[in-house]
Amino acid sequence: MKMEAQTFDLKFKLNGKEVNVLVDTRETLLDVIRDSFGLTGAKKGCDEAACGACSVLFNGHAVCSCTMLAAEAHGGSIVTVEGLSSNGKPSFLQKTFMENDALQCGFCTSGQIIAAAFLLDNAEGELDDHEIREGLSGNVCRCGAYNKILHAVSEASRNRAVK
Amino acid sequence: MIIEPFQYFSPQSLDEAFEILSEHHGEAKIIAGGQSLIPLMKMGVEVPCIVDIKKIPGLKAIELSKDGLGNVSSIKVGALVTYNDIEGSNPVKKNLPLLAKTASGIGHPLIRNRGTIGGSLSHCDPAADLCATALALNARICITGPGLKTRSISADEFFKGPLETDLQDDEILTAVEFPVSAMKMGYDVQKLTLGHGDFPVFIVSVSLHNDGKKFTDIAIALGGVGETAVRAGECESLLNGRESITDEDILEVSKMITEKYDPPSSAELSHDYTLDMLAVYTRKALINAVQMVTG
Repeated sequence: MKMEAQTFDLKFKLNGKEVNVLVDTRETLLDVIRDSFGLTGAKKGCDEAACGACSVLFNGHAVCSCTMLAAEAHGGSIVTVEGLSSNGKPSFLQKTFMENDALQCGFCTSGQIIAAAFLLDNAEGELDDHEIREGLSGNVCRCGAYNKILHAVSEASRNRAVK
Repeated sequence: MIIEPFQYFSPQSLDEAFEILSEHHGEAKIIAGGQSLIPLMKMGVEVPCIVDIKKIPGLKAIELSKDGLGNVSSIKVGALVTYNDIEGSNPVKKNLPLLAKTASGIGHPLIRNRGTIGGSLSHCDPAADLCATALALNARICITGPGLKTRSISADEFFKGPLETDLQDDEILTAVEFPVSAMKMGYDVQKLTLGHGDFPVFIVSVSLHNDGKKFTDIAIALGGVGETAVRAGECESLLNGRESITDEDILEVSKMITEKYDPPSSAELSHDYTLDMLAVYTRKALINAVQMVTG
């Protein structure tokens, strides 16, 4: 006999707010943040941790939310691209992406920004091009806006170093 | 979304985990970082019961053992230590640079933030980065079973076949222990991937020592050339004990490797190409490792 769908009572912090939702154990974290909470910044691209469009911060680490069970987030803290801005105002990093025109279609942008946020949080001083390329190497941009993304992250790391 | 329904458990202790494993004997699968298991389940592989061991304390440490003189003699890496943690660990970088280098080259940062050493070794993909390096570094796999009975086994005996290890249904891999040598050390890891961040087609992991007179402990581990990662024992003995290793010696060894081992071909990569690249990368890894102790 086939097993019936199993549920899990999931509690976690989403963009600073404690949330609680009953999920199917088969749902990924990406499914839940998009479908249960309507946060559509993280995108479903490859659905197998190869493109990075679904990147979110889990306990401060950038991860692919498509390759994580929602249940695994229990008790943890998730920050999506929506959680980086405050009161509708873009963060410094988000603004730098806009000013550098570091996108074309925008599908990968949330993931690029999350990966860049993790990179900047975990490195000191100004990042060189190699460090930025490696840091964002899990995030594919099919439009090929890589150079402008590189400029944006480079500028963000430079200005942060001045601060 | 995963296709087949499954039960999810998140035990808070090893004892609780063993209870669940015995209750669901043979049907349960342990999840650590999930970077291999979740894609498999999405492809339709049925796993009726998932046991998430990430809430169990004590599996995330990197512990150093020292000998009588205060030198580091071994490092025990907890099963849940991520590739990113390994890459960033100062004791690992200092004492096991090959392990740090291997970890820093796995996939991409998003995967390295999630994937764990215990998960990678117990998943046992023949081409996995850490399987080859665990062999090159003579790692021992620490396993705990019901009643908290522990045992340890060499990586070589642990890997049984593709996605198959010596781990029993009611056991958990808890740590991986690496011996550390005080001798001058050379190492390198080279791999062929389709693109940056992709899974290796094959991987060559090399470690060697030099006691000031001769080369010892030559380890050439290959992944992706057979049922499991393997040590190229005959090629190692060709170089072991030599006072010097020349480019010609290395050329001979890399040729020998392509005669003995066969990396897979695919739609993207022809057999001739992968075989040529196996020779090239073996040479590159050996040249770099030898240069580290002589240069």
